[in-house]
Amino acid sequence: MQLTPGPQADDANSHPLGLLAAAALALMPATAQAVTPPDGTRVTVSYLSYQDYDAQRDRMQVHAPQLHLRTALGERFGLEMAATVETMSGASPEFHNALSGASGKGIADRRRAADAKLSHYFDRVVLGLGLAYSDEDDYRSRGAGLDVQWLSEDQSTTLVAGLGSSSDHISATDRPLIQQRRHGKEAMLGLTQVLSPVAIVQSNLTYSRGHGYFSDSYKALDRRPDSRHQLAWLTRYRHYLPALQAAVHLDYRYYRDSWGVRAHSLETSWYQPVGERWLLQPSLRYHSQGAARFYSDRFPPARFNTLYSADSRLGALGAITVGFKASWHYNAQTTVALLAEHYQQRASWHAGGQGSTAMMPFKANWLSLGLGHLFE
Amino acid sequence: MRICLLLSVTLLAGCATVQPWEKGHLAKPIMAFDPDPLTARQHKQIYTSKEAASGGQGVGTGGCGCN
Repeated sequence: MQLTPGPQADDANSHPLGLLAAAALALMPATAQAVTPPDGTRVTVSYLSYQDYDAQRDRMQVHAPQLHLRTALGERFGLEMAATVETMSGASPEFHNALSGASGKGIADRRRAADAKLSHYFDRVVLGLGLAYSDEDDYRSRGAGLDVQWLSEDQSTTLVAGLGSSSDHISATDRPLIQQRRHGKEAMLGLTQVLSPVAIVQSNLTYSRGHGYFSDSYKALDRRPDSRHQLAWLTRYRHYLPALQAAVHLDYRYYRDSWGVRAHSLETSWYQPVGERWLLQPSLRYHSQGAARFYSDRFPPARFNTLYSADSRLGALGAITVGFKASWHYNAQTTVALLAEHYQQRASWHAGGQGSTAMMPFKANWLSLGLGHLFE
Repeated sequence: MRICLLLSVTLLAGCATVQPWEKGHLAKPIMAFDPDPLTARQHKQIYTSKEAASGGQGVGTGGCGCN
């Protein structure tokens, strides 16, 4: 629930056009960009169905019902909560494209995850406290975060600073002796700036330091460093087109870490209202990453007792997601939305040269059906 | 990194004072940075499990065994 500059009727009253503007603003819908807690209680439930595959066979399948709630607690507090249960089955690679399920073993797991954030709204400051929990048969993660947002006097600039930590416990269902831990700390600085009556930009810099067990116990001969320092710089731009009543979203993330991974992720969406009831939203995402220093296209490694991974996710690759979402407003309170996306990953799509040759093209499809209702 | 710096500087250099009564379009739900928090969580989970890069969406959001 990021605080960003929004319309304020009090300020409008001090201007000759203020009363007219205030009257117009009063008719506007409440949004996530308000400087006050949300109006009413919005509950959204959705169901996600996910399947990934390569040229030879299906890999993982995930089904996940999801719940999200955003509500005001009195005049000064807001609460946001989400919960999901993911049921996973199928096979994932032991190295490169060699699947664990090929031996007939397969994978079945269930992940239960929840997060909550309580926000306290002062006049131009919002204090947020968040907690997150995720539990699987072989992995448990707990996270906590605290952030402060300051809105400038002209309400066109917001600064945000945050600190977070996480504590993870890692095990392996087929090897009870593996009981490992990982700890992380994060810091974030961000700026949101109104650029014009139709444009707003946000830029957040997040730095995290993790220590502990980072290897993947299910991957053959996988041996990674016991620390990882990550930098993610996410810049998001929103532009409104009055003639079309549409909005364009443009997101870019630069990423680098101490393992040598450098990545660029660029995403754009078009939000087009059609008539009184429909909102259509095509989207496109491109991601390109360089390989970690210890990633290798060969298996087994040339030397043992050194850092090594044949996990394709740490290789050099490019990926494209094409998506489409349609939302139908039954009335002012109730919305039904269907999202369909297709994802492809290829070594040859790596920007600036050939990617990791050991990986074969990988694809995924997912569908999500959601129902949202605002209780006023 | 240079692309991001250039983008940020260019955008910020272009900003002018916008009066409160001019912010109606910016307050529309489709202009929100996270208009759909459930889809944002789905994307974070899927991309974290398939790619090496992650982060940027906030602090204290926890991890998972997917990577």
